[in-house]
Amino acid sequence: MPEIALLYSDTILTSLTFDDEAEDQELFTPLKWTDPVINTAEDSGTLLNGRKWNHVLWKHYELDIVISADEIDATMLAFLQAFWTAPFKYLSIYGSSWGDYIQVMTAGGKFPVGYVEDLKDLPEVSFTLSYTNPV
Amino acid sequence: MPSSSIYYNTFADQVLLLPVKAISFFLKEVYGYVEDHYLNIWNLEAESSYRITPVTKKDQKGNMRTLGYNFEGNFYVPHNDYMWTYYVNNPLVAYLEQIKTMGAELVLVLGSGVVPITELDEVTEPRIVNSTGAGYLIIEIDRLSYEIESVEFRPRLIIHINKFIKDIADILLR
Repeated sequence: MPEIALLYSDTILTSLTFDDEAEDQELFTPLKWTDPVINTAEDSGTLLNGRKWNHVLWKHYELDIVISADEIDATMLAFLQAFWTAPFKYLSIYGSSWGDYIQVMTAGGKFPVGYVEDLKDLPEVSFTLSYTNPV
Repeated sequence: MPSSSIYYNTFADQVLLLPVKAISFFLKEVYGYVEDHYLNIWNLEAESSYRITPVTKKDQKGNMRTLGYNFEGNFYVPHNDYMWTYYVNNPLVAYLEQIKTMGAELVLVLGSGVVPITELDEVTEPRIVNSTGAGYLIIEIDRLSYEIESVEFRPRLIIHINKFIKDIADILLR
């Protein structure tokens, strides 16, 4: 049973209700995926009297996903790269039913693919997805 | 209601003995010099063996996921004329050198399976013993390696073949 859905789009979604027939969407049962956990950004410093201070600027949920070679063929690898480069990315998590789409972001840079046992036929993709909206 | 069940419970007297009778490499034409042909090697030593093992990863729920399969074959060949005729009159090592870089289709002939002999060949297959069935295992290989080792009074050749395959159906077992 798939556990997450990834969807990408060139435009922002007008409805966040999950649609199992949506275009540019694929369902996965990742090798690993963490529950969303809080990631904070802080401003901090030290006062002239030596006391330290910090202030939480914002909090976002983040989760790590590893999709392994058992779910990746050439078509799926192309999809994941399109997801990586798309301006709007969405995630849906399956609980007892599919949850609403959550807009997420990935880090920039090189597409995060590795190869199990250095075998070209066994690509493995690792994403860190950060919720766009703060907690 | 489920449909009728499937049973595998009649193994008695039906377990086939399928020793590796021969290994055959189908060699493609090379730059027009050599036509397509088979390289057949039989009378392998008893240590010869092959394994097909899964490449697995454990997922976060503890399930083992199979990502593909590794084929590993080690074939011990008593033939050792190559020691003195290297690259002369097409010795075995010369053919292996070709496969080492250009690949071939490997056919493992099991039990009483028929070695792929062309009509032009005037050879008689060796008698196979301890066999109660016939089978073939066919796999495309890109490379091989071989080594020469000395045992007791003689050198011998060991052919090593390793190949990763994503789908078990890519190995044809017949």
